[in-house]
Amino acid sequence: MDTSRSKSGLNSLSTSSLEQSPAGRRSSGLPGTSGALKALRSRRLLLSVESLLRRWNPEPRTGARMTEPPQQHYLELSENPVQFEHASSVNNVFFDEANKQVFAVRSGGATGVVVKGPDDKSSVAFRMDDKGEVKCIKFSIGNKILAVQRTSKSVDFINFIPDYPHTEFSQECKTKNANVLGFCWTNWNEIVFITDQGIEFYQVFPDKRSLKLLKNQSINVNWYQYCPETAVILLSTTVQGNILQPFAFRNGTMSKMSKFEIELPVIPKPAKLSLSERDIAMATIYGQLYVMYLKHHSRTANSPSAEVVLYHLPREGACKKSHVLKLNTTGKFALNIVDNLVVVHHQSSQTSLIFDINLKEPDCAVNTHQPVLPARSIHPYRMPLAGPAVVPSQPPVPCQLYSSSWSVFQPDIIISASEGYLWYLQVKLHPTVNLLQDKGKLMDFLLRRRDCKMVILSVCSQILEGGVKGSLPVVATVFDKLNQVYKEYLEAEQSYTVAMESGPSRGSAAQKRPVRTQAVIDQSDMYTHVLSSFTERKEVSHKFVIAVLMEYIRSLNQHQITVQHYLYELVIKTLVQHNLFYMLHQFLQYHVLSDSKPLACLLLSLESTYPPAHQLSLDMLKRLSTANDEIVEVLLSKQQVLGALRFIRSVGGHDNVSARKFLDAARQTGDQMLFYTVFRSFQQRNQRLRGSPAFNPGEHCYLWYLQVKLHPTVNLLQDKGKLMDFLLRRRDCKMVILSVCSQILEGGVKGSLPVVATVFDKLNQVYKEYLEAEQSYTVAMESGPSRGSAAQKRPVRTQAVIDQSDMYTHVLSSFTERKEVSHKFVIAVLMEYIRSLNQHQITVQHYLYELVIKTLVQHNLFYMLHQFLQYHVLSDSKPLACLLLSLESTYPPAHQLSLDMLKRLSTANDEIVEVLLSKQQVLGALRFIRSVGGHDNVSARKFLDAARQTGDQMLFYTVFRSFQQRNQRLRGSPAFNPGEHCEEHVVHFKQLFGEQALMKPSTV
Amino acid sequence: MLMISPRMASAMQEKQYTPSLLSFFIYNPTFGPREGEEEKKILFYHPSDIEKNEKIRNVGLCEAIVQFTRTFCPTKPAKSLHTQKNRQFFFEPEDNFWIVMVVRNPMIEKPNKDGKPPTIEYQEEEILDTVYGAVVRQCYSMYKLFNGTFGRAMEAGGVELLTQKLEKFFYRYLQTLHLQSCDLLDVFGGISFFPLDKMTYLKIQSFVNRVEESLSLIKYTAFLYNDQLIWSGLEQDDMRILYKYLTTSLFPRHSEPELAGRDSPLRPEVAGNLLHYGRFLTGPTNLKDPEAKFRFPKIFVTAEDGYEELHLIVYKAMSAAACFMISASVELTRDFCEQLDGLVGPQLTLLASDICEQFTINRRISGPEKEPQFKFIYFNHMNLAEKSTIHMRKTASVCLTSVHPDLMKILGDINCDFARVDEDEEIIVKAMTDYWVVGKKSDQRELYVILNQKNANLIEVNGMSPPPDDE
Repeated sequence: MDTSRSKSGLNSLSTSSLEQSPAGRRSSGLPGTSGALKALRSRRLLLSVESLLRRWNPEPRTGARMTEPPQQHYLELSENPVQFEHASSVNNVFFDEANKQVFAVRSGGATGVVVKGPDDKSSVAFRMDDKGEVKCIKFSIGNKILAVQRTSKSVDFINFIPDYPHTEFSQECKTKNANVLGFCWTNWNEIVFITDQGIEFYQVFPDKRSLKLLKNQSINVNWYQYCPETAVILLSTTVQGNILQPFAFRNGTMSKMSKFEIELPVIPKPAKLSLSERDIAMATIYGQLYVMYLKHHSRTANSPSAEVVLYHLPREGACKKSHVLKLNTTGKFALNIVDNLVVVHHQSSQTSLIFDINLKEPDCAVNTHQPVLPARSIHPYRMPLAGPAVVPSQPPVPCQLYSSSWSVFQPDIIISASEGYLWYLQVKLHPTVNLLQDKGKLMDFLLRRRDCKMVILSVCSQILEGGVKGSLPVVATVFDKLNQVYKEYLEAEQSYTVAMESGPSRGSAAQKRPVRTQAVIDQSDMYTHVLSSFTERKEVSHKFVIAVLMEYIRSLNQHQITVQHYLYELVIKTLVQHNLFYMLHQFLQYHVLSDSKPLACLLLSLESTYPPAHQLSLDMLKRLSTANDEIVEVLLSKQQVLGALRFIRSVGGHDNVSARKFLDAARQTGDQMLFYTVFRSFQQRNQRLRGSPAFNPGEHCYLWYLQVKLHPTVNLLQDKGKLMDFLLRRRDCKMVILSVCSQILEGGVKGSLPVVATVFDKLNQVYKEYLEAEQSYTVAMESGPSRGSAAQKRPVRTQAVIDQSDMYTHVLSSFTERKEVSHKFVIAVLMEYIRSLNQHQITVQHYLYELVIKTLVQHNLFYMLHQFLQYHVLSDSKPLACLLLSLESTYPPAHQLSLDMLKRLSTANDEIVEVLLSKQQVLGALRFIRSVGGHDNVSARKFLDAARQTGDQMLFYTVFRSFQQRNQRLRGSPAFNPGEHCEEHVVHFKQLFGEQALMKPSTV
Repeated sequence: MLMISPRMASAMQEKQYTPSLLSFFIYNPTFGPREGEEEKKILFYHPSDIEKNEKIRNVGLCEAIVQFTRTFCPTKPAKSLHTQKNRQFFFEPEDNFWIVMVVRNPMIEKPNKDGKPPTIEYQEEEILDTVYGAVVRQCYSMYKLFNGTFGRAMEAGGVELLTQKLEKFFYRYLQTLHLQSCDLLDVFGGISFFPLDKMTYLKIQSFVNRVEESLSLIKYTAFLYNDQLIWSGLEQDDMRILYKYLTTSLFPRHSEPELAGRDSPLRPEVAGNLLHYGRFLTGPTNLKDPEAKFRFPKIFVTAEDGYEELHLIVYKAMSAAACFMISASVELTRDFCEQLDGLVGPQLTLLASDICEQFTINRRISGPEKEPQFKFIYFNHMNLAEKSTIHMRKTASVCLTSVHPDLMKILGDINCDFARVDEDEEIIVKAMTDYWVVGKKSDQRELYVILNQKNANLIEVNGMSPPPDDE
């Protein structure tokens, strides 16, 4: 293995980056670089001469990070590294930073060149003639043309474009006596040669197999660096090498940028090359190009430790020294850029430091930075054993980190040439959480990282759940930081939308849609991942919960972000849960919870627990000024009809409002004066608007109109049957029909009973049809949806369906209470209704029977009742039986009627026994229970209790013996089971009749 | 409803006497049920220099009246007794404990010629039951705020302790009663809220939360600015009486050097701290004083299980005052007070200037203050918010109104009418000299407007009714 460090192998990789010993490089003799310095990079590497076989397609080996106890490693190597054949005597390895490709060149290419890129697509394998040792090899962008440097005078090219001639062609550098230091592709067909005397910019014509010089510039060059992202080449010039001249390339043009000088720690005398290319790196950080200079400590200056100096290289204008990163140590270092963080690897301590140049350090001079986090090593890494002979079960071996065979490339690449690995360096955010105590700084740090969202949210949860005393100011700071970013995004989005709406013509399409980074944590994120679970934690005091929610709302407000309704809801929920209504009240008073319809509705729903919520809600609706309808609804639902009318007038909505709604509400109050007032008010409105007091048909008020008219002119519509037919087909007919019913009944006109019967029949016909439809729908549903073509729709219940409950509530119950109607008529009507229901096979509801019984009892018509029962006009039911029982005191026969009914029900045996026992008819009860065969399961204690209460000893004896016999029969012993709780009675029995009276267990 | 108010009477040489407190006593009839033990019933009597038998006679009379009226309505015995010269108010705050206040009716002394003694004319209809009834209830609430219920004193130390407490409290308190200036506002017992924008309000919230978090001893906090409430952690009813105490007693007593403003050279140096303008209104006046006592007044507020005894710390910086309430079972130390001072002082100072700034901005936006063409009193029963443009700044001694007492009486009368019914109502009264008084009740709100517009008629008056906001 030849570790020749000659400059010849440009752009291939170096095994030396981290390996230089402190004493090494003495050759340069510079006091400033004496030892402490580590090479940032160098380019060349392992040459091997031996030819080799086919190992260039090694089996895929996946590396594995070692799982170790959380050591808070915040850096790690990528899990799927690029693998290539490691450098050896026959295999030279090169790395191209532009395409991120690793070239394994075996035997000068004769036995194969294997190119491995970051993904499989960019991997290529080919052969080329061995025309001498390869010093540098690179594809142009898109793998179109391969350039190979084998001598210091020329570069050879091979077309990789299909259909183009594949024969190599060559280009010598134009400058006489110049040596080519290397070359860089700046486009698919543009290439720059860097020689020790200047640079030459060529365009390649692959079809003609020739190059054309576009531009050249003479300048003495010590070494160069190339930043592919920005296409900037940096040249080291002058004897000391510390004057750097950048050139930028774009679309066939080359522009000279302003040169700048790197301040050397010590000026060497006599002058000699003092700035090594290893101490310089270029990278873009936060979208800006920086030249990073690793400045080692000088013995003379009193800065004991090394630092990284960042020079900002703007597209236009002068380069400026902009940041200083304090390393606080000495030794060998290497730099990477990951996620806009500057990572500084320190070899001797095997740790890395990270710096964030956008993180302000309050206690440092401007632009001087300390490491964000304490130094930690990269997460341990294991790699599978290499080679085809590997046994799969063989455990992976730990990889030596910070090895001297590592080469480090910008921005985030680490290559181990000797092991054949290329890794990307990654930052793990989770471990940083516990390393940075200052949560505000932590947020600043996290918000600038790429995959930060979940980590940020988890930090928020952590802060809240820690519930550490004094954490509220921290919470506030964190919220403010999050909302600042959120706000900026919203504003960008907003201005983009505005720009889009104003048309694309204006401006030079410069407006790009703002990218929503992970750092934008919106209210929904916060709610879902942090707040909702936090508010539900039992162990957190509600005071703290509310304080946190208010802090969040404050922060949102401070950033002029509209607060989402669900946050308010969360606040209200929490307050209500802890009965903190007064607090809620105060928040509303100061509009902390912004007005909205949903919020107003939520408040309305609280009215039952907190009455003032009603006013708060109405006030809010009023302030919204778009919620007039809602206000009217609320007022009407409270029966404040006049208030609603006044309100709607005051806001000028009277003309368009639905009269029907108001009339409905007015009528429900039962206040006739009110109804009159409302009605007249709308008539006046109609007059004013349309010149006539009549309602429009569309208002569906003609029925109200009708109804109003009905009062003075009852006889206007003579044929009630016809009226019903008409009404039943109208949409909003229910209340009218019911009122017509009431009217017919209350009129009490002679001969009206047939009319009543007709009306009932018509109503029940509709009712019945509906019930049947409902029934068949239910059946269809139960039999499963598979049958039929889903034709079964749930029947709609129209207003024409007047059920028993409607009838009872609106008509019958008030009717039966009217004093002036004869009870005969009342009963006749009720019986008519029951008849009609029966006729339509509708099950009569209990409350109708009750009404009948009540009416009968009120008028002492017990005999009538008796007869109804006898003929089962009033259907049997347990409640009815109970009702009858309760009548016993006024009408003794009710007792028997009740018992008979229970008996008929046959499911009411227990009730019968209870009734009998309560009447002290113990023997009767016993007989009854035997007759229905329930003797065996009945509770003996209940009977014995009752028997004892009668005070009749004989009775007690009889009952007792009866149960003893039962026991004997059932269990072969006269004794009671303990579960029957009859011990007391056994004792009592013994006292009365003596021990010997007890039945002895018969031994069969 | 239209009413015509009584004529305004005034004559130069007549001498007018405002209503004044004749006596105030508290008794419990069960303490001396037997003859000869009547004196034991009396727990407190003002004025104390009355002869014992007269005290007993007066108490006996009250007892008899209450007993007698009970026969008509056992649940609601007499609340007041009107006589020519005075009016008596009865209030039974706790079972068998009666508070009686006797107010002398206002009177006019008309000098007679010929050296005869002047004729005295009592104006027995000039004072309102609702107003003075409210005053008596307020007396009790105030006692309860600082001492807990009568029953509590009885449990702790029997009649002896109770009489001591009553003596100690009412001796001072009665001197601060200014019966002549009691009016409708006493009936409402409302709270004036400081108008504030949402953001500043949230800052106050944030402040309160942070203080309560870092000084976890603090159970409740209330925040006031310019004697107006902004935030209360106490329940509404407790806040109502505490607010009354703060605004009518505590704040006026501490004349405001901070009124001079933050940067004014007029501002006297506040002892101790130059970093902020915070100071304790209760407790130690100077923290640096080694002799300073760290004792704070104790108050009683309702809690889930009866009442709760709390230290009341009132801390003020410029016009912003924060009341911190801490369980009385905790002993407050110098350490704690210093910690509180260090934490709250700077923040409160900052907050006060923020609020002041915000307030001035708001006022500038809403335009210069014009003399409105009407005056009003507004009250919302729901949140006890009250607002008056009739009353000047309340001070410890007097409450100045800018309208004639007759008009105030009309307001009181309208209020009585409102109290009688539940429904929304509107009453318009034409008073003398072009004054119109409009009372409006809507849901839980009441608004009284006094208009002075020449030749206004009923319809015009009806048209103007500005609905104010709660703040």
